[in-house]
Amino acid sequence: MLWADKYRPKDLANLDYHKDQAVNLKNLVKDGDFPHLLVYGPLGAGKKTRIMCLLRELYGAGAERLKMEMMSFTTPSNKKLEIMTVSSNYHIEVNPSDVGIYDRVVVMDIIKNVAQSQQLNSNAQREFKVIVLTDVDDLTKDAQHALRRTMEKYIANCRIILCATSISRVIPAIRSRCLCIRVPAPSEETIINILHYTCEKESLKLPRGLAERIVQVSNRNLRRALLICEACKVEQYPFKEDQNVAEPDWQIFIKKTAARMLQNQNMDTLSKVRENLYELLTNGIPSDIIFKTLLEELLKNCDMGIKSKIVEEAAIHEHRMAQGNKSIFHLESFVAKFMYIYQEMMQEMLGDF
Amino acid sequence: MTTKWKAFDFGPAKKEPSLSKESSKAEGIEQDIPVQIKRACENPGSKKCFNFHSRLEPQNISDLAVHSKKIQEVQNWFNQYVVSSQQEDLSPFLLLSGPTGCGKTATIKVICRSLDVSISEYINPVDQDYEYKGMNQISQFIEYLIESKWTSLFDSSDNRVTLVEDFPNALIHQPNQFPDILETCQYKTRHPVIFIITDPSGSNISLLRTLFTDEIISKFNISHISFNNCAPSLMKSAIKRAQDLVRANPESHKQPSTEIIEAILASAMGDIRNAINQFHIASLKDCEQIPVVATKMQIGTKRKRNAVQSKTSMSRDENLGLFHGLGRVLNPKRKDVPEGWRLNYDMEKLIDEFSTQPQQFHSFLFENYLRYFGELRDAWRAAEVLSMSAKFLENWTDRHETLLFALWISVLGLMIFNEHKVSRWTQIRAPTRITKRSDGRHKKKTGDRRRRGMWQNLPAHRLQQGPVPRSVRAHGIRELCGRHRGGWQASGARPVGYGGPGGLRPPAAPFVPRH
Amino acid sequence: MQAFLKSGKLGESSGKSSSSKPAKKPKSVPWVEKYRPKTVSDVVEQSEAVAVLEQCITGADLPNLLFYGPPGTGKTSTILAASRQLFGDIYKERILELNASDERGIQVVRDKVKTFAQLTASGTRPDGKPCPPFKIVILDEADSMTHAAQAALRRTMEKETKTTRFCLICNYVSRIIEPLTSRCTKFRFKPLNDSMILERLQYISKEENVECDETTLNALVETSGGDMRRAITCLQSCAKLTGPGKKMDINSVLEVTGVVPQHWLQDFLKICKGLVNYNNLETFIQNLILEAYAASQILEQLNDHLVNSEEFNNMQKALIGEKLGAVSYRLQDGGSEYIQLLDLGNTIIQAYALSA
Repeated sequence: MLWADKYRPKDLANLDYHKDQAVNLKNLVKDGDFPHLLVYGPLGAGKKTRIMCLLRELYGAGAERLKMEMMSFTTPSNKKLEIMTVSSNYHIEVNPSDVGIYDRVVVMDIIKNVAQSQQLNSNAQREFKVIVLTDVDDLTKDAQHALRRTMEKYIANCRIILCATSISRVIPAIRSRCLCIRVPAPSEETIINILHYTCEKESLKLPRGLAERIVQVSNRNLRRALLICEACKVEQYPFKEDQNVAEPDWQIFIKKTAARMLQNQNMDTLSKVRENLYELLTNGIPSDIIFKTLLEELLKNCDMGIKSKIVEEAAIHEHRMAQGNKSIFHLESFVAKFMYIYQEMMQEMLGDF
Repeated sequence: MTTKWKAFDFGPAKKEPSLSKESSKAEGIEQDIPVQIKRACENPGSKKCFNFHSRLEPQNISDLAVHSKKIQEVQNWFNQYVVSSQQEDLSPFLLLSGPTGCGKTATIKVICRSLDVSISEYINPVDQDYEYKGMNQISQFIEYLIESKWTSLFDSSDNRVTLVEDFPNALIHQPNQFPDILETCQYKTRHPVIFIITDPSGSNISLLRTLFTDEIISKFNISHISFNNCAPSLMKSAIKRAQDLVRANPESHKQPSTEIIEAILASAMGDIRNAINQFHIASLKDCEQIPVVATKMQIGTKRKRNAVQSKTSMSRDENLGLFHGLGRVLNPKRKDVPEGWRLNYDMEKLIDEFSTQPQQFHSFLFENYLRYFGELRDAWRAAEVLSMSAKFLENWTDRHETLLFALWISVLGLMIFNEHKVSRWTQIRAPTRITKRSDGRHKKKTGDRRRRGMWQNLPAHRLQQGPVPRSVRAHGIRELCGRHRGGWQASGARPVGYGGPGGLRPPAAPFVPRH
Repeated sequence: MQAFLKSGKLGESSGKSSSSKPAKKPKSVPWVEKYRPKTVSDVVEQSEAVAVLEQCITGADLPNLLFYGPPGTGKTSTILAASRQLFGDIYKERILELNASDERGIQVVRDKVKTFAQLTASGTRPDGKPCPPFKIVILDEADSMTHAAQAALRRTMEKETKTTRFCLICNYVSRIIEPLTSRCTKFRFKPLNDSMILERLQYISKEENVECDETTLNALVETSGGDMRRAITCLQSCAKLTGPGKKMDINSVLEVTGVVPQHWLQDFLKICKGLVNYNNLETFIQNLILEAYAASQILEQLNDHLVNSEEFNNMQKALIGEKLGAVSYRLQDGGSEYIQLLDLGNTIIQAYALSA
């Protein structure tokens, strides 16, 4: 079991940070009922932990007995879909965006199923079941629109907890129907404390310097910090202050790609970069992550003068990329544009001398 | 002997040709069974007064427009397995493959005739819904092959081969059942089985690759003879036979001019059937002169630049092949005009002539344009154009005008911005497809070693096994990238050549990017 | 979607669905539903529509209706209340409510709507009282219907005028095809003004025994932007979070409504203004996102700030405003928050450079 799972707090009272919020959440479910929730926050901030704690608060330990199930659906056009669900007796968790553009069918069917099956089982602990939908911000607009009315319709029999990274992409109509709970990422200090605490439990000694470096790499993502820490332990124990903190491979790979772009701006590099991008995409790195990391790396080495130009281009291309599924087109277009701008700048600088 | 052939609709049929299909069915041996033992004549087409095509049907081996070595190979096979059949335990298989109209079926027929071997051919029954009764269809196929049910009453010849050119649809969907079928047949069939597969030109489904993998070919000891395109010289002799035929029937036919014949030969691209059809139309008396286009083509390398040869081709078939189209766009020709330059094409016509779907053409352009661009400045403009038209192509999947518009943008953009063009021969590559796999497991590929190597320094426990909750999975993808179930899968950019009319060759090696 | 009601009562429902809700668990009823207006006259502010509907209730013929306006202004509530008054107890049989969560392709319009429209309706209720001899088809969120489906509707609308009235509800009238709008009487629902919402919130908080002071309620009203539903939902959420018996404070209101604290905005501008190190901007945006503030919310607040700001001249405002629009559009379309905000930041830097 991963440390991140092993030491995941089980109870609202045991949460390590955002304690005020924990109290609020406890209040929320005190009388056994709550409105629809929309929990949002960056990766590794503990959204899921809070949801699970909340369920436990409601239903007791029974909510932790999970089983995996494949559910199948049929779209109006008779296409069969299968989706993995995680459920206990009291709740069911689904990520509808797994099925792409058919997410609408899944959302509606699950809610209808749950709401209807509930009536048969009248002596259940609560009058409602909980449906946890994750990655709501990745849902299609269609599915989100479908969700808004369905949420109201079946409120008697089920409660919906939505989980999203950012609510910018959640339509206002859904936001206004939910109680939004913001889960900010833990502060760096908090993460350090948690790392120390975890290592203590594992009876390991974690030097402060290493912890700080791990936190830096993890970008305030608690889960990632724990994973890196665990990886460090596997690599080398006892820990050393200056131990190598493994960055994710893809990150290094992108950095290398960026370095290549900065070094040489010609057609050759362009085709090399394309190969690298293909490689990353093939390995399942989401294109938005690639784009962001690449941009960050490139900006680090840019002159102030061209930065704004590049960011502007990036914003345009990233937006195009988010719309379609041919991300490589837009990535490459951005890369070419960047290299051109950069080359121009370099030539100008040379011209000045 | 002759009567038997007629029953199979070979040889000059004396009946009304336009009815040849139906009448042969009615007259045929097994009319009530769903699987008809029947083979339409090679060139069903417009036949007016006399059966031009069936007259032209090759009667002897010498008439075949196939390379003699290939014929010899097929004959050898027949001699070894069919005629001298020593009643082996395992029935032999023969697989013929080749592009359309290179004479595969004709060869089999002619050889069978010369050796007095009868043919029974499997034709898909039309009344089956393959999606729901797929199994049924396959079992029927097996039944047919092992002759448990559909044996002919009239035909008692021992020398018989079974011909399969029409594969059951169910097999295309479940190619994994094919080995079982072969296995069953191998032990139970009395007669050799001949499979004929046409190399696909353009379509993605290649039966040759899905059904007859190397593994299967070696396992069942299938003899594989692959035909090439019909050579021009052979085609010429076939046309000559046709000319003789026309000469013999002056009342309804006329002799097409040499120019037209040349054009026919040029545009048939190795497809003899096509050539004969064209010839037939051209030779009809009440038919107008077929318009031909004379294009001046530069032939040869720099040394003989002046050797300009006029070449004619049929203007009837105006579609540009994918590769021609790509070539035009990626290698734009310009002409100088007083106020600057212009593209040397009639753009509207050019775009009209692409016979490819805009999306696909666009993907091809993207995959290949880089190698034709000499300067970064041009390249980013091109990339920008492609990225922009990609946006159009994605959002308006069902509006043809928008697709065309996007195509216009990308084609014009690429042609205009290519100011420093690289003129060298480069291989055209098929677009890389990255598809999200629903089952999530990484497809194991040979040659995948490098890819795995990239992530293998993750500790094993981070590649947590088994299904994990999605939240973990999301983190897995974004942070570990080794533990994803919804993995992405690229079918590599594969080199494709110009082998035959748009034949995509199988990938030489999986796409392994260099670092 | 809902508006006011002078006397709050339990068990109000929106159409066919939630009326099955058992009354035994009153607290599971959202206040939005609980305090939905019961009669047309309870709907405030939308005098035009109310006047017409009231006439219909007293016997005049009802035209086909098209309600449009921002969310939370009482569109659905109005038509539901009206049909309830028109048909009394049998109103459920007389209305067909379809919204975006129902299948609403062209097929459904053809089958379901047509079948329903072709049923005849009698002029009396089962209890003998007279009622109008027609049915009402309510198409909620009509702007998300496909154009094909809308086109299929127009014939039906004309053919069935004898027995059926249509009520289309949407946020943006521009998304409804012309032939449909011309067949309907259009009513624009205006955003509710702040005092109305405040009055309503005060009423509800008194009914529900929620302790809260004027400033807290004012903050709620301000963030609602004329959306009554949002205001009431927020009120309920805050009340839930603080727990009964305790006093609601303004911080929890801000938290629930997702408003970005003002100091973040000021810091944003400050960093852009005296840009020393570009990394500051990057780190700032990074942190902003890690704090899980919604970028769209930031844009909205920034826009408010910008319009009233003395700091910028018109030129600068125009520059930033244009970018705000572009960025907001891209965000809606799924662009990455980080990159889009970075782009915005760059524009603000340029704007500051103009004045320097």
